[in-house]
Amino acid sequence: MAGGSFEIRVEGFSGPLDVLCHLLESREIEASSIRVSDIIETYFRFLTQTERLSIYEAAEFLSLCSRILLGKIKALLPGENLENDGGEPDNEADEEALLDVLQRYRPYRAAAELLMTLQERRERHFIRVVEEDETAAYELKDLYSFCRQWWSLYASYAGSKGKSKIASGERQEGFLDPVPEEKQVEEKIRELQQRFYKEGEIPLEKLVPKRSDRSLLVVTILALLEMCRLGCVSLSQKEGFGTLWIRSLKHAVIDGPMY
Amino acid sequence: MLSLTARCIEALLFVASDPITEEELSSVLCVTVDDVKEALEELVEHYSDHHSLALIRVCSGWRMATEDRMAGIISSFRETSQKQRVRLSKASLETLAVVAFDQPVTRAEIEEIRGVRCDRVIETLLSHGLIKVAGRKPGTGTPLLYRTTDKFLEKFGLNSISDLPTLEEIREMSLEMEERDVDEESQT
Repeated sequence: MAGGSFEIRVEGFSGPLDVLCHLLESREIEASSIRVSDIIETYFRFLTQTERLSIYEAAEFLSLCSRILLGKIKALLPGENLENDGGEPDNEADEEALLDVLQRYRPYRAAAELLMTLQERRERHFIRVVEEDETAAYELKDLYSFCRQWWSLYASYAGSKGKSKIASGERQEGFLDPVPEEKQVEEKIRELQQRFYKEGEIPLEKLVPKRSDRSLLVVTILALLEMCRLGCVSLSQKEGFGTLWIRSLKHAVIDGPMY
Repeated sequence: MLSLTARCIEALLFVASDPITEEELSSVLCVTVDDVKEALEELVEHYSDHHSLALIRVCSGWRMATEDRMAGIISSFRETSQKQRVRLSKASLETLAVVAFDQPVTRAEIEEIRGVRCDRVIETLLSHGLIKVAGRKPGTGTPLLYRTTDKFLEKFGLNSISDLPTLEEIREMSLEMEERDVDEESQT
């Protein structure tokens, strides 16, 4: 190890601690002579050899290097050095800390191998393939799953409607406009006034089409109520549960903000 | 000849898409749990001879599956085998092991044990439904706590989480294996 002459051929490491365990188990290094730089070098070599180093793995590697470097810098400080009796300033403390970490990590590494064995054993039994249940479900208080499901539902909805619509920022049914509500009401009032000017009396069904979304319905009703308050329209219903007719009382155009 | 209860259970297991518990079978068939257990034993014995199907016990229930000796032939049959497999990396399995043995556990605790960041791996395990968020840990930052799911039990052929050995037992097992390896090496 001191000469750095060993070669590692493995199918994959789960992290630097896994590398360390591998080196110790294969007796390529001794636990008493662990050098952090060797672990970094080995793990770096593995990462570069995999040929599909992701940015996350690279970030993990850099994070590990930074932590070790920080430890080294701290050890070089005078206060830290006083405790050492010469020679390598921080090696012993590093080794001890690393061995502690390793001791705690190893059972989980073995447990992962056990899980792999269990999975392989289980996968030798096949069951009848049924369609996955697509019903959205999440446990109470599990907001994380709720959000995941909401977004996956939204993604599938967006997918069915076509991505271009979303990308173009076009208004989606069921999602409120980013325009303030009062602005929308004002615009609606102007639109309705123009319609009343042309048509005189209009049934409510015509103003609120059956397939309109909720926000449009809310804005229309608010606009009609406001017009009633301002005395621009009158509402009449000839029979109970019958058609609600809205009639224009005056043709004055409302200018400027009404709030 | 199978008993009527055993035949009914056989039919229910055939149509069920998830494991059925003994209590559920008892309720559906209006018989006692002991009767169900007896009928299941009868069925297990029945399938153990001259059949390519088997009854397996997973996730606190029973399900009908193919016998393990048929694994080879089924693996080569269309995409059946691929659909039922969850490919997990070594890092994912290790993270899953930490969750399984220390649950409920936070991401920081997993990262402390593994020595690397685990956010992406946790995301993968969540998307596979093998772990779930099980609340928040009281204290600074109230981090999310993770637990294994029923799907985890199902995918790893476990009846319950207590089927797993303890970490101490695993530690002893791995030490024994190491010692055995050393002995074998010294002999050669």
